[in-house]
Formats: sequence, C-alpha cells, structure tokens
Amino acid sequence: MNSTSRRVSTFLENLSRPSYFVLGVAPFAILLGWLLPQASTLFQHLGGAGLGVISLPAIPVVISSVTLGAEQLARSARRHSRFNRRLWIALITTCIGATLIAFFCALAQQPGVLTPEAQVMVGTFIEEKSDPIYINLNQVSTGSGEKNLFDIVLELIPPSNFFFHTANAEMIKIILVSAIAGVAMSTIEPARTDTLRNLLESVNSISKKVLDYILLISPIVIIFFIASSVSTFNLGLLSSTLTFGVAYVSACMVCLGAAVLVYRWNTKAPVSVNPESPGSVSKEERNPVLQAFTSALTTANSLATYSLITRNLSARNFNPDQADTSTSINLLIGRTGPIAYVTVAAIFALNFFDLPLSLDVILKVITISILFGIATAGLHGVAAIAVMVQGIGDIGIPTQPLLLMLIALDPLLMFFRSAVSSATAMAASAYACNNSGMGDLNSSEAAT
Amino acid sequence: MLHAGKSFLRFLLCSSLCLAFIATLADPVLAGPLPGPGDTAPGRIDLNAKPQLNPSIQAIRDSGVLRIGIAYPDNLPMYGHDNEGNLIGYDIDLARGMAQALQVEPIFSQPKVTYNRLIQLASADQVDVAIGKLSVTIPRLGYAKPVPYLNLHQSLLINRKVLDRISKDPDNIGPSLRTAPLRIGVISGSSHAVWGSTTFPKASFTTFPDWQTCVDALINREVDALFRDGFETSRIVKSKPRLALDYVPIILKDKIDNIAMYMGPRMEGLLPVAGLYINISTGVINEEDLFRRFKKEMRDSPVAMGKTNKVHDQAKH
Repeated sequence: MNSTSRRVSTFLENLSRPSYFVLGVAPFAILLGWLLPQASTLFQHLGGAGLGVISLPAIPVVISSVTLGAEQLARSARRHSRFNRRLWIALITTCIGATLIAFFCALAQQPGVLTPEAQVMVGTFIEEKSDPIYINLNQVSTGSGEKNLFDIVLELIPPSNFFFHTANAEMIKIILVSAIAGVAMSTIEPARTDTLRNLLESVNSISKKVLDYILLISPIVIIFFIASSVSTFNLGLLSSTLTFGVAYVSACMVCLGAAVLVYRWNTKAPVSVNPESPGSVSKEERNPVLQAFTSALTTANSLATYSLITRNLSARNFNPDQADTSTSINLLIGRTGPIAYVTVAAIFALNFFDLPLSLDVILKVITISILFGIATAGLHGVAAIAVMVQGIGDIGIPTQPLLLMLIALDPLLMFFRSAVSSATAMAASAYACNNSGMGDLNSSEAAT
Repeated sequence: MLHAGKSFLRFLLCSSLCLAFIATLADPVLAGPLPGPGDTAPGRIDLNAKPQLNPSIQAIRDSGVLRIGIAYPDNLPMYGHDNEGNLIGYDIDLARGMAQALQVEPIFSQPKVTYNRLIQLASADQVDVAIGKLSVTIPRLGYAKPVPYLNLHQSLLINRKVLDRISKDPDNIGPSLRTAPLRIGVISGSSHAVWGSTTFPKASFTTFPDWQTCVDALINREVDALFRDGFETSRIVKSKPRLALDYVPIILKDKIDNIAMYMGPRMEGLLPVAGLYINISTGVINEEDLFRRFKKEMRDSPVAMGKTNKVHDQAKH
C-alpha cells in the first residue's frame, strides 16, 4: 500500500469515529441533503447500493464461521458443553430481555397515545402516501389462504435448498444449514474434511478482510443515506410520533446499559493493549460495548462490528473459534435492535388503534417480536420493516398505515437498531465465551 | 369540301342540342321550372317546406327555458351553492352549457327529495333534465333515459380493523368481502341501496337519510362500511385525514357506477343533443380524471368537515 492510499485509508477510518461522525460526516450529509434536495433520489440509490455492498461479506462470514464453529463445538462437545449451554442461554436471554425492556419502556411512554393534532398530522401523512385499494370483487379466490403465525414460522425456519437460501439471503436458514453441516463434519474423520475446513477458514479470513475494506466506504454510504433522508424526511410526522422514537431510543439505551454491565461481569481477564500484537485491542476499545454501539451507529450496520467484537474477545483470551461462532450467531439471531423495535411498534399500534392489551396479546407481542426480529437477519431498510410489520399484523393491527409510518421514521431509527444489536451481541458473546479460555482452544486444536 | 365539313359540324351541334333538350325533359331534377309550394306530387321535394324542430327541442324553445332539477343535498364540487348562494359545480356547468347550446335559459331547482324521486319528477315532466351525480340503475331506466357523463366505480369505505379481520391477504380481499357478513350503510333512495344486496349478498344494510349521517354511523361504529362511488369514499379520507388511520376506501374495479343526467319521456329528443354536447365539451371522464380535476376541492368535503348543507329548496337562478 503506497503512502497516498494509506493516507486515504486512514482518513476514511477516521471518518467512522464517533467524533468525526458527529462533527464532520453528519453535518456535511445534512448540508448536502438540504442544498441538493433534487438529488435525493440519486443519494437514496447510492446509499441503498452502499448498504448492499457493506452486507456483501455477511453470507460468507456466516457460513464459514458457523460451520467451523459448529464443527469445533460438536467435535469436543463435552469440553464445550459449557460454551454451548451459555451460548443458548445468552441467545434466549438476549432476545427475551430485549423484548421485555422494550415492552416496559413502551408501556411507560404510551407511544401510540397521540394528541388530536398529532393524529391529524399522521392521518394526513398516511392519506398522502396511500391510494385507495383497487380490487375485483368477482375474482376467483386464489386459494392461497391467509398465513397464521405457525405458517409463517414454518416458512421462516426449515431450510430446503441451501443455494436458494443463500441467493435470497435467508440468514436463519443459512445458519441452520451451516450448523448442521458443521455437526456433520465433526462426525467424519478429520482427514476427509480438511480440504473443506481449509477452504472455509480461507473464506472466513478473506471475508473478514473484505469486510474491513468495505467498511472504509461506510462513512460515504452514510453521507448519501443521510442526505437522501434530509430532503425527504417528514419532520411533522417525526414530531407527531416523537413518543414512539423516545420509547424506542430509551429501550435501546437500557439495552446498552445492560450490555455494558453483562460485558464487564464476564471480562475479568486482563486485556492486551499491545498495538503490534495481532488480536490486540486499541486503547479506544477498552470500553468495547460502547465502541461497538457507536461503530454500528455510524455505519447503520451491525455486521460492521463483527471484526471489532471477535478481535476484542480474542484479546481477552477467549477461545477465538468460540468468539467467532458466538459473535456471528449473536449478531444474526440475537437481533435485539429489531426485536425491541417490533415490540415498541406493536405497543404503539395497539395504543393507536385502541386495541386492548390483554395477557394473550402481551404474550403474542413478545413471541412475534422475537420471531420477526430474528427474521430480519440479512435485511435492511424497507425490507426489514415490511417483515416486522407482517408480524405485527398477526396481532390484529391494520398494517398499511403502520408500515407507511415506520418506513417514514426508519431513516432515523435504523441506526439505533443496528447499534443496539451490536452492543448486546458483544455482551452475549462475552457471556457465552466466559470460562472457556485459551486452554480450550489448545485442546480443540490438539483434537483436530 | 370545306363547306361539307361545316355542314357536318352544324348537324352535330344541332343533334347534340336536341338530345340535351330531350334529356332535360326526362330528368325531374334538371327539369324546370321548379315545383311550387303545395305541389305534393309523389317524388317531388318541397324545397320551401317549413322545417320541423325536434318536438323536445321545440317544446324547450317555445318555453324559452331548460328546467333542470338538481339532486338534494348539495354535493360540491359536483353541484351546490357557493357562499353567496350561487349555484356552482361540474354538473351545473354541464347543464348550463347544454342550455346555452339549445339557446334557452337554464332554470335550476333543487327539490328536497331522494335521488330516485328526482328522476321520477323528470318522468312526470316536472323537470326537463335531472342531474346531480345520479347513477344509472335498472329501476331508474323505467322512468327516464340516462345520458352518462361520468364512469365511476362502486366503492366501500371500510374500517381497517374490520378489513383486517376479513382478509389479510391482499389478493383475496374481493372474494372475502363478497362473502363477509358486513354491516354496510347506504343513503336511502340511492342507487347503492339498490345494488347493495347484489354486490354484497351476505351483508346487512342500513339506510340513512344522507351521506353525513352515513359517515356519523361509520365513525360511531354502527356500521362497518359505507357503500357509495369511489369518488365519495376517497374524498372522505382526503378531506378528513384523521379518518385515513381508521378507514380505507376500496374501489371495486369490476362494479361500474355510471353517472348520468336523466331526461323524461317528453324530452327524449334531447338525448342525442346531450350526448353530443358531453362528447364535444368534457367527454365521459372517470375517477382518476375527477381526482386530478378536483384535487384541491376533494380536501374540503362539507360532509367530512362536519358542515351542515345549505338547503336551497326550489332555488332559481
């Protein structure tokens, strides 16, 4: 790398830092969007394309890390039983914890109880953005039927064609297939799976490197994204639904606080701060949960923190394989950001449409939040919102106005969704890897 | 030789003239003199005959006015009164233009009767033309002849929660609606009160005296939906955006709602005049054209804003 490219790289890296983001990237993007409103569509396309590029290494990282991790864990199941158990506990606790925190924050805020003026403002927005429904009354029923929650779960989880799932970025199915493949690999003698293992290790290393490179462009992507949002953002709607935003952000902050505490309890091991040593962490990463939070906040992508989390956990003498596996699984399944988002949106809609909050509705909200929050794995923006609202519709809430409203508010809240997912993934990974130190790594390496 | 040639030419000329004379006598058109008044011989045309006007037009010309009955109550921007009490609206302009084309004065009246009764008044020769966003229905055809000028569709303004209960699948809303036991509100004596049971065979219908009470019943949850044309249902949510959160218009693409002006039997001669006038002036327009044309006015529905309609009974302008 010559000096010019190094300088450019350093400059781009600096742009991702919170201070540069707040003082440089965000004001510049806002100014750009304000000065060039006519270019909002172009900015939107560029931002969308950029977010797609940032997600590019997601699938290879997930396939390689989950397969290798599952193989390692299954091969020495007894030795890793504690990690397995803790990983499951971390996942389940994270998901349920996020939805409960969001539920209580939403209950406290009553986000859907709007003033009459706010209702008119929201109604005007919905009316402007929606058309009448045009239907043929006499058309023959297609017979596809309506999907209940059970149908949706069946559609969401069981894998069928791995290549099809990969092409469609169906992350839950990809994780399941990878885990099954990893377990299957562990039952075959190592000599026969060495080629695949080496290939997956190479894929994993390359994907991480690619992710590092791609993340350099994330500030530019965010500039386009914010610029397009500034020119199209509906401030009236934002002010009318401020309670919704406040409820969600407060839920995110509580989750962040919980993540910081959990991480601290589980990282008693001394941290290496030697910058020359691979796997070491910088001084800035000493408060890594906050670092993960801000890093995802400034890139609007939780996957952007994958390297940060694994590097930090490895530097704290946790088993790198376990760190890889738990990080990828926690980032992709323990999606606290979307889970909390679905909960707050569901309570908002229940308030808004004057629907009763009975015990069965509460249980349904919690189930749906976890299920559809997880289902957003690999999805961004409108696609993620559509999946989440599909779940909320199952509670008996009219989805069309809610979908329009959430799409309008998403440019602001999507940053927090990614940020809180990263922070809790780091804490959950630290919990899962705790008490599974280097000794395990050495043993597992010996076994292979 | 030269003399013989000249004689031959003279002979030819004379022969031609004789033949022309004979042919002229044989042709009745070219044969003069022209037939005089009162000459009614078969095959003869009296070119001085007094022209006879279409009886309907003659009757209107004789009276010097075109009596136009407008539906009650006002329904701007289609028909109604402005703040000064002047009649305005799309239908009013159409009727005025037609009167102008017939070279007579328009006289408007707005009897306080149902839409069906207004059409019956046209059949009873109380008005020459009945107009006011009147739909074409089979029972109405028994009384008067329609001249369509708007092609709308039947439509429901439905509670979103009810719709969500009926069908979550957007592709199957139609079949689900057809078989749903909906509670639907309609205006009494309207075309939609006639169509309702055929369009939604499983639904129960409640009639209300006017659109305002229909909307009140919907908001008070007395009914699940209102049944009217797509223009009116869409207009409610446009004029009162708060309602857009709870209610959504559904336009039935396969259920036409033709809007026409009606002529009584004595005025049947006006049908081609009205048809041609519509074609050369506004043309037969549809919902989308109306939405575009009245984008601003649609946001000021007097019904949705809770204003009371002015009563201009038998007002003449």
